[in-house]
Amino acid sequence: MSGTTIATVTKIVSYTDTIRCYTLRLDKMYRFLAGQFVQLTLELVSGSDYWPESRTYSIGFFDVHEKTIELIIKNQGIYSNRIFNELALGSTCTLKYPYGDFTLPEDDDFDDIVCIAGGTGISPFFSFILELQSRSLLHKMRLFYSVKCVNDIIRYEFLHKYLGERMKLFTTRENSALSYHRRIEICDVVDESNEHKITHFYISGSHDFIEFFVQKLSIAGVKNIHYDFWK
Amino acid sequence: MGNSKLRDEILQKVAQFYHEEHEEKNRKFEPGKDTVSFAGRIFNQEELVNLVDASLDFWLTTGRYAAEFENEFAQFMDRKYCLVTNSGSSANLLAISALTSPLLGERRLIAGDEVITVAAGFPTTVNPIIQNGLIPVFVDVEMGTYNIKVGELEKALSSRTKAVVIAHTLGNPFNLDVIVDFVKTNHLFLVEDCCDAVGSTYNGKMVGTFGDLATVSFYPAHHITMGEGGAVLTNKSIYERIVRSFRDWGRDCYCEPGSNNTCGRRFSMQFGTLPEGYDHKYVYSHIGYNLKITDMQAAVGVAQLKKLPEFISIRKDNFRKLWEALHQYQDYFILPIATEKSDPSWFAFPITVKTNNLFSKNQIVNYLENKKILTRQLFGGNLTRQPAYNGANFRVVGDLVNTDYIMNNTFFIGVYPGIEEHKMQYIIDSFRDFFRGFSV
Repeated sequence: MSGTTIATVTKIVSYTDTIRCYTLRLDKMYRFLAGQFVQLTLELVSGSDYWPESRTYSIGFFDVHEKTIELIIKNQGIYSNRIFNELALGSTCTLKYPYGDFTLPEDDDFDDIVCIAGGTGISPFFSFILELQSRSLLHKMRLFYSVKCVNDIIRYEFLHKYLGERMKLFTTRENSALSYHRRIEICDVVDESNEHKITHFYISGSHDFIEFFVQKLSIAGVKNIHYDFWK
Repeated sequence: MGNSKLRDEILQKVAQFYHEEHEEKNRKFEPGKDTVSFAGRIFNQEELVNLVDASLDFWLTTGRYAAEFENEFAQFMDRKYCLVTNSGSSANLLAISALTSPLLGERRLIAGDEVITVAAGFPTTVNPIIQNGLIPVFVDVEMGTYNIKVGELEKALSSRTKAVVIAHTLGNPFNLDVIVDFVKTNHLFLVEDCCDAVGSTYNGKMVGTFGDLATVSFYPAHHITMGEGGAVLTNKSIYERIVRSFRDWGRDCYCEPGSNNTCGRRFSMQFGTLPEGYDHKYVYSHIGYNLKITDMQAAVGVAQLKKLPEFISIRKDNFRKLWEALHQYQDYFILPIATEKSDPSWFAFPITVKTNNLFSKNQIVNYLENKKILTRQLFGGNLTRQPAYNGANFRVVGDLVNTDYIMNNTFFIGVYPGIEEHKMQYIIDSFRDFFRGFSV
């Protein structure tokens, strides 16, 4: 049940040279589930036009009353380079949304949720936090978040405020008081009890990152593994 | 969107056309000469303007208006998901077919499973049950509410029962307390056919929000219209996904018309025993149909949706006027009874003629029809007696005594918003004159 809307850029935050967070105000705020994604095109089109070239981005932070969403965009190709060059404050683009199955269990009687994020893969977990907070279920979420350097961490204060000790940070190329100076290992996310087998695991990151954890978790006997990736 | 100045000019002319061509026609009524229909489309320039606006896109298939309608109607019905389709009958087909999806695992319905329903209703509530190889189990209905007799549910239950599929008859909600408890206790699916009941509430909640899936019709007789149209509503994403697939050729892909690679993985997945990377646009996970609507139909629906609260209010008001006028004849009529705890958004005003020595149902129906007051039977009457079901595989609980009585003695007249005050008075006067003929 997706729709098309014009979106206006209201804020741009640069985390690094190649990672930005765009805040977009939407003409039409359709209902979506935490974890879903949008298709973004730089052209202005309606829902009754052929859909032009676009790219897929997870909905991160959002504000239903302000009708805004945030997209974390990494400049890593021709189209994302165009986005960096053409999408300035006040400019418009078109979104089509929402899509995807990378979503939280719909009933409230689920067990713990473990989120494993690599780099900009953190994005959908912002919407998870907001959704779980609204359902008073945030205590069920744990986050394992891996980046290269401390500067790559997106919205640290927000994550720390809402997750506190339920978040573990990993910086693979830098030593820091905030983080473990290594990659996330499978023993970090599954423990010796068998409870992990019914926990819902959500993995978001690069294709290799996802494949690694899907394989390791499957071997560990985990039943509920959720991931979403696109090429 | 192209030449917007020219588009605006065209749409202004369309509005003008409505005022010159349709507005007066809609108001004209000469008692005894013009028909008082039981239902019909109510529209103004907005529907025509939207329809032409959609046609100017020349998109033809599902597009921006369908997306807008789905989002707004879902909100109105207090559901997360709405999928428009080309009729209420198709909506029922989709809802029931969805319950057979392999994605539902062991809960899915398979051939030979039983579905509890009623025979006193419309055929396309029941047909998809048979079309999916399932067995309808017909239960009798109550007089006055015309809804399922909840006391018979346990008799209908068997080891093969998997679902309950019933309509809120003529807008009157069925006993949802009992039905919801019954389906929960017995782990059954519930499909609410709300085709005649948009806006009805039970315990203050919209009908269509109690079951796994709900269906609605937008045929011109209904609360709002698209001409031809319908919708399936649900709160669960898995059902949304399944219904969408069945609606859209059975495919796994969820790209809208004119889009590609929405999932971002069009050529990088493997399904069934297809080769790896087979185009996701042509992977089929269900044996489905194409039941989409055109954007032109949805455009009419978007305009209608704005009027829906007013339409519901008028229907309730017309029902009340008829009830107040006709309750003096309760020695001869069984008048409709709203289910306890409900506030129906009535589709029509059903009347059952009690056995009496003055007149039969056919006589009063003929009288009203001769007065140009259109009447209708309660749809299929007793579906088990319809020729279409001769040889069909179904089970009947008891003798369907009330169902047969309704088939023989019940008719309905309209309460739709097109019955304005002067037409309502004409109906009331006609009933009065009928009974005067017997010096009652």
